[in-house]
This record gives sequence, structure tokens and C-alpha cells, in this order.
Amino acid sequence: MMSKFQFEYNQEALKNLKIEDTSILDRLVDYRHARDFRQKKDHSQRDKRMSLKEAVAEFVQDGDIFAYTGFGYVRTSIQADWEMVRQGKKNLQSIGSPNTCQSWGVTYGNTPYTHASYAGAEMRGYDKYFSDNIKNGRVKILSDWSHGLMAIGLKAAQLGAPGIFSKSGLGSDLVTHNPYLKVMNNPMAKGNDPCVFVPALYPDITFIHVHAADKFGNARFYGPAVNDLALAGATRKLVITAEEIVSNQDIRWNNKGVQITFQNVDAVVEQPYGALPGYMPGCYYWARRWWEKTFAMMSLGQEAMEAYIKEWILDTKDTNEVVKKLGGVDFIINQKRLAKAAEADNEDDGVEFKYKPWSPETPPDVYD
Amino acid sequence: MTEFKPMNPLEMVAYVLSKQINDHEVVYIGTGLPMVAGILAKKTHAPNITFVYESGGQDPIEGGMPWSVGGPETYRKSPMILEMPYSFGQAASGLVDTGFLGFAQLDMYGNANTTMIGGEFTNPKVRLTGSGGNNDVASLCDKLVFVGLQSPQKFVQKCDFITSAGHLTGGNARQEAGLLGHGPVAVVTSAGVYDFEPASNE
Repeated sequence: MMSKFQFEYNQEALKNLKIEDTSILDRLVDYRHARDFRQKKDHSQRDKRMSLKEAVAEFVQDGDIFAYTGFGYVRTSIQADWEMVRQGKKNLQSIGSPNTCQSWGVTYGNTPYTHASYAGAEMRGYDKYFSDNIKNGRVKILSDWSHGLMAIGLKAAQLGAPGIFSKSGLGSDLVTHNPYLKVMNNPMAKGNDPCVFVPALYPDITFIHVHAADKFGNARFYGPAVNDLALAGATRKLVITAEEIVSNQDIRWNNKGVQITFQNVDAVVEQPYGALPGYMPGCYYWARRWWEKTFAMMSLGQEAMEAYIKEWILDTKDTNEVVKKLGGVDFIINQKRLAKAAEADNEDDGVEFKYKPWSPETPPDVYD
Repeated sequence: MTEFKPMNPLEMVAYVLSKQINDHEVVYIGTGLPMVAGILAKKTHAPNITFVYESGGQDPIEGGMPWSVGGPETYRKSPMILEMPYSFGQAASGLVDTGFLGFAQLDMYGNANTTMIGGEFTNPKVRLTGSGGNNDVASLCDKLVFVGLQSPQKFVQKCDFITSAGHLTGGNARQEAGLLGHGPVAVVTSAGVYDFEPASNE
């Protein structure tokens, strides 16, 4: 149930983004609703384990604000995202920094709304599909962000603050294309000191992929946190997907790296390889040619994407089938070797990173 | 006998850019060409610089070339791996010297566009990546160096969208908008290095 609170949006941004009904924007910044939602939850330490299928079915509702975690393709719970697509969840608003994975959720109508920050995968691929979908209306941008401004909004939510004044964004067109941002003078300054006020941001559902978690939800992970510490505190519903489930004893005795506490967590899923086809620190390297092929398919457009997403997501039952499709045991062994070599954690003399980038001539089962 | 080949434009840019980096500085690295140049600088004339990346990795030991600002090369045996809000917070609170950024369009005041080309926001000619960390590095770092290939498409009179504020409309515009730091001090391209006029900031 929504709080009766009302919100002041940036009117110029609403015009530029052609948003008429602002009710679709409310829940992202409704901090009172987010507080009530979590206050009512059972805060006990209890066994929250379930399968990925069950977690997605129960905790992702149509129309939710769905957060992408990690760095898009680094410790991102991509397998949870794929299960969301498999289950046909609809009308989600995506939010993330970067927001790379949002794009394939558009193919079958899962994520038609986006709080944009960065599309594509840097040097590995430009997302032409996102550009086409903006133009044909398959995706609507609800707000446009820089990574730092979005990070500050999520951090405010984690800290329980209604908002934070930032020095990012000033003078740019971001502040006239984001209904949530306003330029305001620093209340502590005598005279001119413009800042951008960033309201606290509250996604509805977030899947964070970690190295280990106990059954209560205490989770440890290694590698760039990106926005996950903030998201764990900001999101209304939080599901932890873990490479492995360990005992509460293990979490207590090996507590270096525990960064998420059980109270925030709604469900715990044992999901090895949950970050595939992306990178998992210390565990497995990106499926490089899968990403390159994906951006090639994106360049080809809707028909190519329908076939590709059907092949990889709708027609795979679960993550185990995805692993087999990427190359099975040989793939896993090789990707682990590459990841450890990249992090200076094994004998890297003899580990080969050179490869032939994906092209239409690449054999059909080569994705590493 | 060693064969000498002329540098390709990308190699030229990376080399010239590496000269903009002073040894012992803390350097915020954006995606793309800035990564290449930063690593080249560290391997050659500035071995004591510290890299900062927006995903949280910083001060990695030497390794392979990163293709992502979130990849393992950015946090390879880092003493500490941070988080995105804190990483940008470091730049805002005076702990970073220079930021290095790419761009799709750059105007004469050093304002950058990585958002869209042509048309209007809901129907652009092309939607690009979006800001990513570009706006934050440009807004928050003390000094900024842009790097890109020289072409009329990239160097424009006026950006179709200002993703990242440089000197805005020149003169004191950046300070009046509330931004801190000196903003862009150089633009490195395959044609050479541009700097900014002291008073007009063109």
C-alpha cells in the first residue's frame, strides 16, 4: 500500500522525457513506504533457503523496480535475471550502474522501463539495441543518471537519509533530464553554492551474488562492491545468490569479508555460477565471446534478439544447462584458471589470455 | 634488424596522453583509451602513479590490460577494494589529482557528450552509452584530461547533449555553476594536444 506522501519532480525533466503520469516514478523515492515495508517484516534469524525458481517466483512482482548489481558483468547475479526473464515477469523498471543487462530484458517485455546510467559493455560492445529501442518505444527512459549520482541516491537510502547534496551533475543536461534531481543551494552556505539534491533511491527487488552466505542471509563477498553495500540497505526485497552456502559458524569464524547482514535478506539461494556469463572474482572469467556475440545480435535487432534470448534464456531450464551450453567442465576449468591468473592467485606463467574475438565465423559452441 | 613502423592514431593518442600524467599522482581512469594510456604511463615515465576506478578497485599491482573499469586488472591485489559511492567521494573530497575520460562529442569549452547524437531525447538519431562515470569524473576531479581520436564528428561547436560539464560557456561559468576543481586542462587527440585559454577557457 502506497504512503500518502506526494513528490515534487523536476518539471523541465518531465517535459524532456515526455512523462505525463508521475505515479510510475513515486515508489523509487517513497522512503516512508520503504521503511514501513521493512518494518513489518519478520526480522528473526531463520532458515531462508530456497531455490532460484522459488525466489524469483515469490519476490519479483510485475511492475517492480529491479536492480542490477555488481558491475553489470562483474559479480552480477545474471542467472537470477535470466530466471526472471524465463518466468515472464513484466513491466519492470530497471535500475543499475551500469545497466548493461537491462537490454536483453526488453526483447520479451520484461524491462520496458529504465532508470538509465550506462548501456553496453565498454570496449567489449556497444548496445545498438538500446538505441533502437529508445526510438521505437520498446524502452522508456524514466530518468537519466551518472553512476556517481545514482550511487549517492542508493547510499542515502542505505544510511536512512531522505537525500544527499552532491557536486556531480551541475551544469550538465543530466539535471534537466532526470525528474528526481534538482539544483538547490547548499543550506549551510551564505551566498551561492549550488548543489544537486539526490533523493534516496529504493528499488523493489535486488539479487546480489556473493561467494558465501549462511542460511540466515549473512553474506561475504570479495571484489568491487560497486553499489551492493548500498543496495543491500536500500532495496525493499533482497535475495542473496551464493556460490556456496556455509554454516553460521563459518561466517562467524571467517568473518573477514562479511558485508551483508541477515536482517536485510528475504531469501538465500545456493547458486553456483550465478554470475555467468559474467565474471566472478576469484572464481570464473567472463565468457568473452558470448558477450561479443550478444552485442552482435543486438546490432541485428529484434528478430535476432528474439531467437538469441529464446536460445539462451527461455530454452535453458536452469543455470546448469547454461553452464553446459557455454562449454561445460572444460569451460569452467579454463575460466577458473583465467580468473585466478588475472588476480595473481595462481601460477600464471603458461596461462593464455589471447583469443580470437567472436565473429560469424566462430564455431557455434565457442563462448569463452 | 628491428623494423620501424609508423604509430597508428590510437597508439599516438595513448603515447601523447601518457605525457599528461605526472608521476606520483592519483589518477582516476575512465573506460576506453584512458585505460590504455594510464597503463602506458605507469610502465614508462610515471611508475609511481596510483589508479582509481569507479567500481571500487584501486592501486592494483601490474597485470594485463583491463577492458573494463570493473575487471580483475583494476583490483589485482589491491590493498583495499572500495565501493562506487566512496570512489567518487574520494574525487570530490580532494584525494584525486587528475581524471582521464573519453567522449563521443567534445565542444570548444571541454563539455563532453556520451549520451546521444542528434534529434531529441525521446527520439535521438543515436542513443549512446549514457554518462556512466563520465559526468562524475568531470565534475569532481581537480584536473581533467579528455582523450579521443581527431575527427569533425567528435569535435563540435556545441554538444547535442552535455553529459559532462567542462568549462560550460567559458570564463567563470564552471565556478558559477557550483562546480569545484579546475575542470579540463587538456584534450589529447591523434592530431596533438589542446589546452584551454586561461581567461576564456576555450
